[in-house]
Amino acid sequence: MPPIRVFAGLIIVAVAAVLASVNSFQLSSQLQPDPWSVEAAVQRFAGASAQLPPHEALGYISDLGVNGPAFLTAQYALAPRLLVPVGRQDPEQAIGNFSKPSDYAGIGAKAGYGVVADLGSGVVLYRKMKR
Amino acid sequence: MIAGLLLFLPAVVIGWSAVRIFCVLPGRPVWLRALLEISLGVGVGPGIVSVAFFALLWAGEAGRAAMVCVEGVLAAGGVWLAMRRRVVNSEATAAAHSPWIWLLRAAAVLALLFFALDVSNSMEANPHGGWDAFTIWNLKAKFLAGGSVDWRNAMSPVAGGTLFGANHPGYPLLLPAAVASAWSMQGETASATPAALSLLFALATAAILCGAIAWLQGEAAGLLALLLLLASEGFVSQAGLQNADVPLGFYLLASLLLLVVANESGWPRDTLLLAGLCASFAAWTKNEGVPFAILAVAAVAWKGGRKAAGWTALGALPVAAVIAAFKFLLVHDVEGMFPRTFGEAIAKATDLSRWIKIAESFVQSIWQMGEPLTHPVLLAAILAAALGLAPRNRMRQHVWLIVPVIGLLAADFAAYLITMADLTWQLSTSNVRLLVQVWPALLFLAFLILSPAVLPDIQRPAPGKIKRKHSRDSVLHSK
Repeated sequence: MPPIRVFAGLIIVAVAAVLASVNSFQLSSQLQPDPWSVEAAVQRFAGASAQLPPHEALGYISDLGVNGPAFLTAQYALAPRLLVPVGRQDPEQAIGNFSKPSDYAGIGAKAGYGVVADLGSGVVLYRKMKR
Repeated sequence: MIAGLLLFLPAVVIGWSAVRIFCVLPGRPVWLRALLEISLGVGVGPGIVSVAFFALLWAGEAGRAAMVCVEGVLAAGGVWLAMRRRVVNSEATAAAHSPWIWLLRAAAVLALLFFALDVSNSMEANPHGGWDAFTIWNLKAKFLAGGSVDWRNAMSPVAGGTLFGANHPGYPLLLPAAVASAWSMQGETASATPAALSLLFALATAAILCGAIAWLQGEAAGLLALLLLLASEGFVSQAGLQNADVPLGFYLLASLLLLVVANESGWPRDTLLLAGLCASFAAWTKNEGVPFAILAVAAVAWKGGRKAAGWTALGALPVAAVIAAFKFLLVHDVEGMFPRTFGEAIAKATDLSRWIKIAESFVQSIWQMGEPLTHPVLLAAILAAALGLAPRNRMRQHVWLIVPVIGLLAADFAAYLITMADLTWQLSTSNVRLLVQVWPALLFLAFLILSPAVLPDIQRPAPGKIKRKHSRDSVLHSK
């Protein structure tokens, strides 16, 4: 049997480590599901992803800008296609990502795109209009 | 998850073979050697596969058939070579068990159980990983899995939109390429696949820490090291988030272990080659691995001489060449976080308030690695008080191992000093993760300076006295 000082140290460390593991587990039980709505974006864009060509850059039209989670989650959901904000480049097709019902056709037309399909949940497919 | 784990099985076999071929590990106890070989292989294999997949992509040949062929040939060839180099003799003695070891074993099993439940919760809440996982690592993996048309999107400077700090065209690709290779074979981009790799890296890190300390200091010390790692909330909370920090931590720890093995075995070149390879995989995982790899070679030069350093550098060379080619030929944009002029950098680096703020953040991050009453630093201090420290001359023998770890932290500190991003934001979003990267290595080093003499324990084989049978035509053999 190890000396009492060693034994006490081992007991304290073993018990404390297990308690720490229990605490970590309890913290993980309180995690907010899908905090950045990534899974939600994957679901929202699933229909669009099935209709779009798999290997082409897509224009990006949105009322949410391109500097936040909405763009990043859309990019993740639609990868390997690269999303390009319209105006910088004008790919043949574009995806609309809207937070609320809007005049999708009017917004697209300003960027030179016409609505192909409104897939619901703020997801709109566009195609470049012939000039 | 099971399918995800199975997808990485060929990579693990390749890694296990490489470890078995290149590294002299103690012959007994068998479980310890197997634990170390398999857990090292869990990281080495995906590293090798990632480089192979990236090379095939660049060559325009990274289809499913090509990857199956490459992984099949590497795994079959590796197993064949590994079997030819099996250990046939060891001077290790039988284990002398104390009943008290069961106390630690029971605690370790319980801690592992709660760790598994914790990771499960984390993956359920974040099936696509944490912020960095879905904005950087898994996104790049999806681009790479897109094949010959889309893989260059992984170096795009616009994939993160216009959000500051979201575009990282030059981030290394070990993790994305390893995931993409599995996705290519799977035929879909299932979120369980990167989650499985994340879990493998976390478990392998824990296993290496436990196995390495068990080899060096005895089973009881190994189990205590495992307990302290699993008591580290910072590490545990990252294990399921699919970021690159835990894999980087794996490669740092694996490199240090292999350097210790090399040191204690008379600097055999095959072990040094493998240590160099692991250090280079650290650099292929995250940019923070670059200073670590350079300093690891420098530390070997200090401790083992130029010849040993040369073999280590040679082990790192192939992956270093891939990284250089990637950085110079494929990446055309620089990180927006670094200053563009020397004057900007000097102005930031000479601002004393930044030094203080960064130092405070590092202290705070260490604090955040655990809860106050069960903090791993407190537990390490209790162990030091209970067991005592190793003799001073033994501690001095390990000083060289601290160099690459402290050097990496110093590089991190310097990067914060000159960052163009808002310092408060950057520290709050990354500093704990930097600690997570070095945490397993720091625990490894901490246990090296503890005195294990009084622990209830197994006996370990005498390092450097392992004999193995070498195949006649093998060019890689220990001295």
